[in-house]
Amino acid sequence: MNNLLPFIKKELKAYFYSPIAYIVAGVFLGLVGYFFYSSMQGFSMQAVQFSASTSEITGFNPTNVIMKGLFRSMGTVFVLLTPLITMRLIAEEKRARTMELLMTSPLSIMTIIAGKFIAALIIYSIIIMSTIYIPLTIEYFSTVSWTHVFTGYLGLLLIGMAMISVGVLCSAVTDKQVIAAVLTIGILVLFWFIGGGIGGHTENITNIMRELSLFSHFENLYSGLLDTRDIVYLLSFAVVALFLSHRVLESGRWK
Amino acid sequence: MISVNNVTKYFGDRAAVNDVSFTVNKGEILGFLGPNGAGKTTTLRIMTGFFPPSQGTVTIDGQDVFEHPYEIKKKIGYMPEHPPLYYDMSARECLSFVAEIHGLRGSAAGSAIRRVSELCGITHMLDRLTGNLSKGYRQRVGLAHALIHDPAILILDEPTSGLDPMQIIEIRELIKNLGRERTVILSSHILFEVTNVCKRVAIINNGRIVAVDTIEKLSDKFGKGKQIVLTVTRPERMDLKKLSSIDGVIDAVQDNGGRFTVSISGGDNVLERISSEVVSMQAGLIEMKHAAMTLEEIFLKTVSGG
Repeated sequence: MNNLLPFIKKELKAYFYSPIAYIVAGVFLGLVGYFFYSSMQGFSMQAVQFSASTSEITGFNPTNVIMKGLFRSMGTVFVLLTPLITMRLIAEEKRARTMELLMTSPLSIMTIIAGKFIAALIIYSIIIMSTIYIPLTIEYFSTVSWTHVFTGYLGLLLIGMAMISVGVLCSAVTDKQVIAAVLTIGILVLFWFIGGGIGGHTENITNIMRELSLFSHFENLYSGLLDTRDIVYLLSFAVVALFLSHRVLESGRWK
Repeated sequence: MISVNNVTKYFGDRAAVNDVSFTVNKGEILGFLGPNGAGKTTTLRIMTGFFPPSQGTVTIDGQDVFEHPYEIKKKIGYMPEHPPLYYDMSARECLSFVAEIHGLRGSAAGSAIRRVSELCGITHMLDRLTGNLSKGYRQRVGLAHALIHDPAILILDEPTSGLDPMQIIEIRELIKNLGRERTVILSSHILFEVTNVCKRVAIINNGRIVAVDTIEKLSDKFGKGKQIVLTVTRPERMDLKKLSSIDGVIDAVQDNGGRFTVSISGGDNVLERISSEVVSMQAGLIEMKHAAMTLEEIFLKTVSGG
């Protein structure tokens, strides 16, 4: 494991040398910037309408109206962008035959997987944290509930870990980046909409599916609700996917 | 010392290597020969710990490769047939990554990179992207990768494939020098290459070892005694029957045109009798020499099962 740091360093270098991280960051920040603009506009129009009303209005504050929606959008956009960050991780090493170098060096498979996961998570976190200007802007004009914002970013971090680990797994099963990306999108979309958009025949099955869904656990977090069940589920989801990646690479040696 | 004991590796139902055993002594350069697809790369990959064998063991200095992967991988420098390079990194970055995962940090890594890049002649190419290097230089960067941690054992899989004749000579000299203080295993399907560099060869065909010995001994073993090559200007006057009946001559055959091969048992007196006989035939003897069997011939004989 003491080789982890140089390995992460090399992975990060690979991200900065290829255009893909910049393109993902650019597209993401562009979309989120537009969402921020339009929800800001919606908020101010509603504010004008509500100012005429005499009845009590609850939950109408910038954090709830703007940030909550934005957190949800950020997570959903990353369902489609995560595969682009993770697809090359292991598939490319296999295609370029550099896997042979890694496997004959004093590196464990665990170090390889952990290094790749952490590097992708760092890139993801940098992109996510670039949106910190949004709560800061709101804070400048109004007030923001920073605990809610913190919970939202924590949710994004956890959901990112779960999504990246699926990407690592899909990248481990193939030597073609496109196949890895398509598989990742398939799995992530399924786990995003299961229990919500995709229901079961009976209420019980739908409930079980909702428990399995990545989105429903993320929903609590971005709504500002810190629940250990959600944290444990998302973390264990990532651990299971990473463990399977380890098994895939290890079993590949025995075939 | 490296010993490969009864190693078998299956890919699906097909045995890529089958019951392969041989040993490599400390400090020697062993040539690992075989036609394409004979199982050379598979055997080397098992020896480096890339994947485990289906059956059998590989031990290096008494340690099993799969029970002590870390210790073993630190001792071995492996250069695969296709040098594993990150094409979007410079040669220096590739080398410093490999140095770091071998535990060399800071100035130790820097001096290791200087040492191997001088050894492999890539000092002036260090800052180029490896994706832009020519095949020959990629090969050298690959060799530098294998050497960076100063391994006691060097395993090279077809190190000269795809190089031009000048580069082949340079790499061969380099391997010879490296072999002075290291154990080297060199695989190749070009026989000429190993005759110059190696003393001992292992020949593999269809996943099985067909011969392991020194080049001279193999030559004796498959040559069945000594052979003399005669060249004459008037082959029609040669009487093979008469030649075969000379005391000490086992067999005489015409190779082509004026070239004849005579198998003999015995010393110089037999040679003298042959020469006087050929002269008396007035066949015009212009050359008479010992034929040491070339590796090419040994190779063809062993591979064809002769």
